[in-house]
Amino acid sequence: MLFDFFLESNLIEKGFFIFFIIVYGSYYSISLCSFFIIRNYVKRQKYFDHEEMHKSRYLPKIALIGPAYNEGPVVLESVRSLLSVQYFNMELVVVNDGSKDDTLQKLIDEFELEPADIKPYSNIETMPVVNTYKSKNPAFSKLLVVDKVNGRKADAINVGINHSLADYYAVIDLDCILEPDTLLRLVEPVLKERDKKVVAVGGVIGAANDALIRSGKFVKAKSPKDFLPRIQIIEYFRSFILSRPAWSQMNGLLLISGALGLFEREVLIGVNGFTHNSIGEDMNLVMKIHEYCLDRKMDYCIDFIPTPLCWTEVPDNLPMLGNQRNRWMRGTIECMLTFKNMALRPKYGIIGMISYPYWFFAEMMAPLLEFIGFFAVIFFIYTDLLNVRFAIALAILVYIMSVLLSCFSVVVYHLYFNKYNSFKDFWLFIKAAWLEPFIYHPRVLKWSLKGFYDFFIKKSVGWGEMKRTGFNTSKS
Amino acid sequence: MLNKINIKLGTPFWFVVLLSIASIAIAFYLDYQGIISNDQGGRFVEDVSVQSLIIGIGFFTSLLILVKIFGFISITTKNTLSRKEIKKQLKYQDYLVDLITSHEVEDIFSTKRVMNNFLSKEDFYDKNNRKILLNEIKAIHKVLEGNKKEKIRKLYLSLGYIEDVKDKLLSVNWESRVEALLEINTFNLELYHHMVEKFLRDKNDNVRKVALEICIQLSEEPLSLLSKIPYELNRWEKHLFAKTISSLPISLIPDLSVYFSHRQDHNQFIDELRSQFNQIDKTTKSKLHAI
Repeated sequence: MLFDFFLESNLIEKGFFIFFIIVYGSYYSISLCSFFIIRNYVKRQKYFDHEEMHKSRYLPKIALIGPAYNEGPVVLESVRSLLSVQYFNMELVVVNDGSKDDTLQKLIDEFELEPADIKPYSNIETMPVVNTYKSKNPAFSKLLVVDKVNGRKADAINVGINHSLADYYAVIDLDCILEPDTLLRLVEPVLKERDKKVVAVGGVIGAANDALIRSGKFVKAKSPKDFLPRIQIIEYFRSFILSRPAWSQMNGLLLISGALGLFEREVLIGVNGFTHNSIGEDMNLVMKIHEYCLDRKMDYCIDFIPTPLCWTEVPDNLPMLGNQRNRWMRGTIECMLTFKNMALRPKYGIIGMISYPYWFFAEMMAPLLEFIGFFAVIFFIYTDLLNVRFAIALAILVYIMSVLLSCFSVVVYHLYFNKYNSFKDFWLFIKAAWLEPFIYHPRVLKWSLKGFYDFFIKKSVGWGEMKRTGFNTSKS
Repeated sequence: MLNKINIKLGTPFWFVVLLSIASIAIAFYLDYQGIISNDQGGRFVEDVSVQSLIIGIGFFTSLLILVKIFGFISITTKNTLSRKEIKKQLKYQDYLVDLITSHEVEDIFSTKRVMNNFLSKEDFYDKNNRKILLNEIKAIHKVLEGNKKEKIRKLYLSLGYIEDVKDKLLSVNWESRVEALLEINTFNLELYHHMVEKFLRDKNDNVRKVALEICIQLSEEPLSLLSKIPYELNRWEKHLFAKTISSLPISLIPDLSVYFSHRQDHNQFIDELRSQFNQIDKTTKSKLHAI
C-alpha cells in the first residue's frame, strides 16, 4: 500500500519521504549500534576487577582539573567529593578563575591552604597566575589550588595543565559529582590499549536535579519534579546512551562533554591545550585532537565509557536553558567553520567523510532545515504541490519515530544502568518523551535559531552565566 | 507553567489511549455505515492517506500500550525472579554452610548422598537451579580457606560441574568461555590446565585476558609465557606479570635477564621489571662477565 502510494506521489512528496527515511534511518542505525555496544560493555564489566586495577602500579598518573568561577555554593562539597575518588595516583588541581564570590576564601579556610611556589611544567599561553596554594594538612596533600586572573573556562583549564605533571588530565566541571570509580573506569581503555593509543576518553553525564547526594557522594537518582530538567534527562539519554557509543566505536566521536573528559598529556600539549576564546571549547578540543593525530598519521582512538560516571545540575528555568542551548549552537557552528578543512577529505578518514558531514547536517543545520521545512510544507500545500493528507501522515510518522527513539533510550537506560530504579521514574520519563515534541522541542528550535542569529548577525561570543543553587544534600 | 501542562496532559494517559482507540473504532463504524465518505463518494477508509493515518495512530497507540506493558513486565519479572532467586540462594547458602560445618566422612560428597541429603531432583537437573548453586559455590569458595575450601571443591566435582566446563570452553559465546576458564582456575581443574594456553590466541580480547591471567598464575615460570604471547603486552597484562612476580619471596625471584628475546617490546618490559626488582646490577655484572 505505502509502496503504491510512494510510486503515485509527486517529486516533492518523494523528496520529503526520502529525506525522512535517511534522517530516521541514520538515527535508528546509530541507536541500535549503541545498544549492542552498551550490552557488550555491561557484560565485559562483570569480568573486570576494578579493585585489582586500583592496586596496579601501571595506572597512569592523572591530574583532575576543575576550573572554578563563582562556584561558592558548591565548591567545598565538590572538592571533598573529588578528593574521595578511588584512584591513588592522582592530583586535584582547582583553578580559581578570578571568581567574584568567596570561592577562593572558602577553599583556603576549609582545606588549610597556604601559598606555595609551584612553577609551570608546560607553557601553554594563559592569563597571569596570581598565586598557587597547597594544604598544610597532609590529608589534603593531593590538592593544588591555583588562583588566576579571569579568562574563561578554557583558559583556567590550560593553567591547570601547565601547573601539574601527569600522564593524563581529567577535566571536570566543579559542580559535578563523580561516581567513586569514575577515574578507574575512565582509565580502563588506557590500561587495555594495544595497537591504538588512547588519547581521550569521555563518559556519560547524568542530571542530578532532585537526586539524593550525601557528603559529596551521589546516592540515588530520582526523576526531577520539574518538567524541564526531566525532559533534558531524556535528551541526555538519547545523546549519551544512543549516540556516542556508536560514534566512539568507529573512532568518529566529535564531542567529549566539557563536564568530564580524560586527555593524554602529549597530545593535549601538542594541540596547545584548550582554545581559550572558543565558545564550544570541548568540541573544539576533540576536533583539534583528531586533526593533530590524523595529520601525523598516528594510530589513535578516542574512547567513550557508556555508563553514568558524572552527575551535574541541568538548567531548571527557561532563560538559563535558552542561554545554554544558544551557546551550544554557537559553539557547534564555530567548530564546524573552524575545522571546515576536514570536511569530505579522505585524508581525515571517518572524521572527514562521515562524522563531520553528519554533525554538519544533523546537529548544526537541523534546526535551520526544520524551520525552512515547516514553511516549505505550508508553501507546497498552498501551491497544491503537496497533498495535505500526505503531510499529516508524514508528520504523524515523524512524531511516532521521535517518541519511539526517546522511549527506546529510556528503556535501554532502565535495562542496563538502573540508576532510576522505581517504576514511577521510568513512567515519568516515558510520559515526558511523549510530550517533548509539543512542549519542549519548539523551544529548543527557537533557541538554536537564535544561536544562528547571534553567531552570524550579532557576532556574539559571550558565555552567559549559570547560577549555582547547590545540590539536594542530606546530612545523615 | 510547564509543570501544570504536564499534570493536565500527562496524568490521564489511559484516557488518551482509549480515546484514540475509540476514535478509530467510531470512524470505522461510521465509514461502514456509509455516514462518512471520501471525495469520490466511496468508503472513506479506502483513501490511502486515511489508511496511513489510521495505521499511524494505531501503531502509536499500541506502542504506548506496549511500553507500559513492558515496564510492568520488566519491573514485576525482575522482582519475581529476584525473589525466586533469593529464595533458592538462601536455601543453597544454608545447605553449603551445613556442608562445610559437617564432620561426616568423605562419602558425603558422593552424588547420591548429595541428592539424598540436600538437593531435590529438580534442583539437580534444572539448569537455572544448577547455575544459582554454582554461583553460590563460587562465592563461598572464594571466602573459605583450607579444609573447608577443599570440601566445597569436592562438592563442585561431585555435582558434575566439571563435565560442563568442556562444553563451555567450546562454546561460541565468549562469556561461557570466560566462565569455564575462571572455573578451571578457581577449582584447580588439572584436567583442563593444558587447554588454557590455547586461549591466549582466542579471537575475543576478554577471553585472552582471563586466559593470560590464569596462565600466569598456573605457571611456575610466568615470564616464560612471554615467548608464547603473539601480541604486545598492554599495561594491564604487564600488571598481571608484575603482580605474580611480586608475590614470590625475594629469594625465588629469578634473574630476569634470562628472558630477553628478539622481541623489543618484551625486552623493554623485562627491563622495567628488572629496575622494579633492583636487578640492574645483576645484569650489568652478567654482561660484563660475558664480555
